[in-house]
Amino acid sequence: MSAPEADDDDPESLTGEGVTVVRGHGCFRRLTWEIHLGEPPRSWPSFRDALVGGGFVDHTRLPSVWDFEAPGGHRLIVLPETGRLQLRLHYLSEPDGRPELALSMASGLARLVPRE
Amino acid sequence: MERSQLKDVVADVPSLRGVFVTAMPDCLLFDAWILPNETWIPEDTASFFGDLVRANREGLKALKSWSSEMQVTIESADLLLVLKELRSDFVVTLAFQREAPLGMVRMYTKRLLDRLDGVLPRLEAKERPRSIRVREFLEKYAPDPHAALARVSLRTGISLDALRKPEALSAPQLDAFEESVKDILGLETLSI
Amino acid sequence: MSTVPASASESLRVYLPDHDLMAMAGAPAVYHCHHFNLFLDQTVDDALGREGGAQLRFNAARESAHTFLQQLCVRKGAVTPVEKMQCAMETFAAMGHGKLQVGAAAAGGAAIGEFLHYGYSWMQKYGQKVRRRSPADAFAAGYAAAAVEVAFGVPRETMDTAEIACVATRAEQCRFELKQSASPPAQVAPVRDTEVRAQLRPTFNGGDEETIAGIAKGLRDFTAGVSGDERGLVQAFGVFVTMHLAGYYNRISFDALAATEKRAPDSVGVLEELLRESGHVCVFNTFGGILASPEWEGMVGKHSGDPRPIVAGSLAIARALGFGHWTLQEFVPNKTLVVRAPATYESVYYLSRHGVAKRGPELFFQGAALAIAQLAHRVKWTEPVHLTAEVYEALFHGGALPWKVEQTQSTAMGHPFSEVVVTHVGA
Repeated sequence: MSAPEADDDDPESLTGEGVTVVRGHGCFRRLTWEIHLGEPPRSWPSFRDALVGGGFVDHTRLPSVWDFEAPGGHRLIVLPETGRLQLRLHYLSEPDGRPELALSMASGLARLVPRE
Repeated sequence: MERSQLKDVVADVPSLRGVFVTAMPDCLLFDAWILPNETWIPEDTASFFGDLVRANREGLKALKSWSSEMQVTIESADLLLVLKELRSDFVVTLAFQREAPLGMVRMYTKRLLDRLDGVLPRLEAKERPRSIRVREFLEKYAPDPHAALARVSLRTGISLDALRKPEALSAPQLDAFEESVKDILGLETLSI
Repeated sequence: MSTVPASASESLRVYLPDHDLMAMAGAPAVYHCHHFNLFLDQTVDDALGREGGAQLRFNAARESAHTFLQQLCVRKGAVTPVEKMQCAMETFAAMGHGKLQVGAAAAGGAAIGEFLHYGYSWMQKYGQKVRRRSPADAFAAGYAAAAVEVAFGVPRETMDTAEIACVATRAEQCRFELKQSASPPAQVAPVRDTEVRAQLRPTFNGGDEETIAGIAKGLRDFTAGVSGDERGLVQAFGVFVTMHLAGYYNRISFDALAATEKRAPDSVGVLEELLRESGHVCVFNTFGGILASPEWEGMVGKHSGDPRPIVAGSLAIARALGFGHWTLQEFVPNKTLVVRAPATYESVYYLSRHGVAKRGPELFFQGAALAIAQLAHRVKWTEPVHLTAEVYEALFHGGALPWKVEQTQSTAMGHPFSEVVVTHVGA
C-alpha cells in the first residue's frame, strides 16, 4: 500500500540555500508556490534582464505584473512594486517532486539576482 | 486506562514508533502513545484505522474468509503497521519502523496485545441508533460536508430538521436515508 | 483550417454596454469555475435524480450550444460540415471545456473527450474521496449533439448523445455515442443576446463606481487573452475556469426548481438554499482566488484589511465575469450590504423564458452577495490566504451564518432593478 498523496489543503513550506518557498493559494496538487528570496533584487529591471538571459521568456501583458515562462513550461509571476514572486509549476511536473522542484527553481532565481 | 499505563505497556518494545487504540464501533480515539519526536496527531488517524479494519472484516466475510484472528499488515514507505481487533471493543494499531524484521514484529505484536487485553477496560456496548451512525458516517466522508444533509433531504424528501434529529426517522425513511448516503459516497454498503 | 483564433474570446466576446452582461457569438455567456460547475450539476441531480438530472443537463447543453454554434459558424465563416465541426471543437477547447473529437454525421457516430472540464475536474476534486458511478460530462455530450446538428443541418435538438465511458468513473477516457433521437423534445424559443438586449432597462451606478469600473475593465482586458491550454483547459487563480453558456446554468437551475415544485413542493426550500450556496461556492473559490492572486496585487495593490475594498473589488469581479452591472448601493461594515443591478444573467433569462416571476428568482445573485459580505469580513486578507475546503467549511458551515440575505427587487418580477440586501444577523 503506498502512502496517500499529501493533502492539498495542508500548508507547506521549504527552506534551503537562503530561499523559502511557501505553497500558495491553489487547489491543484502543490502547483503554486510563493517564493521568498533571501535577498530581493535591488534593481528589478536588471533582474528582468537576468531572467531573460537565463532562458525565461517574457509574456508580460500588464505592466505591473511580469509574467515569464521558465524552461520546462513553468510560469513565474513577478510584482516589481511589491516584490512578490509566484511560481506556477507546469501540470506535467512530477507530483511527488513538486516542493523540491519549487525550491530548486527558487534557488536558481536567487542566483540570477544581480549583486551590483 | 490512564496514559501512563499505555506508556508502561510499550516500554520494552523495540522499533515501535506509536500505538493507537481506537474504540469501536464509533471509531473514536481511546488512547495513544507515540515517540516524542513523532509529529503525528492521533486524533486524525484513529477513525481511519477503525474503518480500515471494519472494511477488511466485511470484505473477508463476503469472501467467507474471515476469522477473529485476522490482522492487517501494511508495509508503507517508512512504516510497518499492524492493525488488529481486540475483542469487539477496540482496534489496536501498532506502528513499527519499516526496517523492523517481520518475525520480531509479529512476536511483539502478540505480546503487546496480550498486555493491552489485560489493561483495557470492557466498554459498555452503547448501541446508538443506526440513523445517527448513518448521519455521522455521511458527515465524516461526504465530499462536500457542508451540503451533505441538504443533498440527502433533496433526494429523499425528508426535511432537513428531521435529518438533523435522525433518531425519530421511520423505518422507510431510514432506508431512504441510507440509500442516498450510499449513493452520495459511491458505496454498495455502509460499514457502520 | 483554423477558423477560431487561439483565444476564442478575442473577437467573439462582447460585453453589453453598461450592463456588464457578456455574450459569445450572440449567446449569453459568463465565466465560472469548476467548483461552481460541479456543485450546480450535483444539485440538479440531487433534485431530479441521477437520470432526470443528467437528461436535463444534456437537454440544456444541447439547446444552448445549438444557439451558440449556429451563430459562431456564421461569424467565423465556417460553411462546410467539416469546417463547422472544427470550428465547434476548437472553440470548445478555447473556452476551457477540454478536447472533444466528434466523428459523427447526420445519422450519428461517436466522440472522444480528453480533459473534459467536468469529468476531469470532478476527478481532481473528488476522485480521491469518493467513487462516482455515473458519467459527468452532460455538457460535452449536449455540445457534441448540437455540433452535429449545426454541421450537418440536422433539425435542432434531435440528436441524442450517451456518454458510455467517463474518466470520472475511472475510465481511461470519455467516450460518447451519438444517434438520432427517437423522441425529440418540444422546442422553445431560444434566449439569445437579441432577447436579452430587448428587455434591458436604463442602467445606473452606485458607490465606489470609479474604482469598481476601473478594476472591472482591467480584469476584462486580462481575461480577453485567456484561452485553453494544450489540454483545452484554463487553469488560473487556483481553479479551472470555463467560459460557459449562461443558458445552460439558467435552464438547469430554473427547470430543476419548476420540476421540484411539481413533484416535491416541500423540498423547494432546500433546493433554493443549495442554489444560493452555489453563489457561496463561486465567490469563495473564484473571487477569493482572484483577490489572493499576484495579478490582483499588481493591478489593484495590496489588501488593506478594510472590508470595503474587498466588497468593491468583488463587484468588479462579478462584472468582469459577465454576471451583470452589480453596483454598491449601501455598505455599513458588520451591518449591511446592498447590491443592486439593472439586470443579472439570471433575471434576463428568466424573464425571456418564463415571463414575470412571482418572487425573486436570482438565487445565485443572492448567495453571491452574502458570500461577498462573508469574504470581506471574515478573511484576513492582509495575511497569506489559503482558501481551502476547511476554510470554506469554517466560513459557510461552522454553525449559523452571521448574515442573512433577502431579494427585495427583481427585474424578473417587473421591478426597475434587481436588489439584494445582506444584513448581519446581530445588527
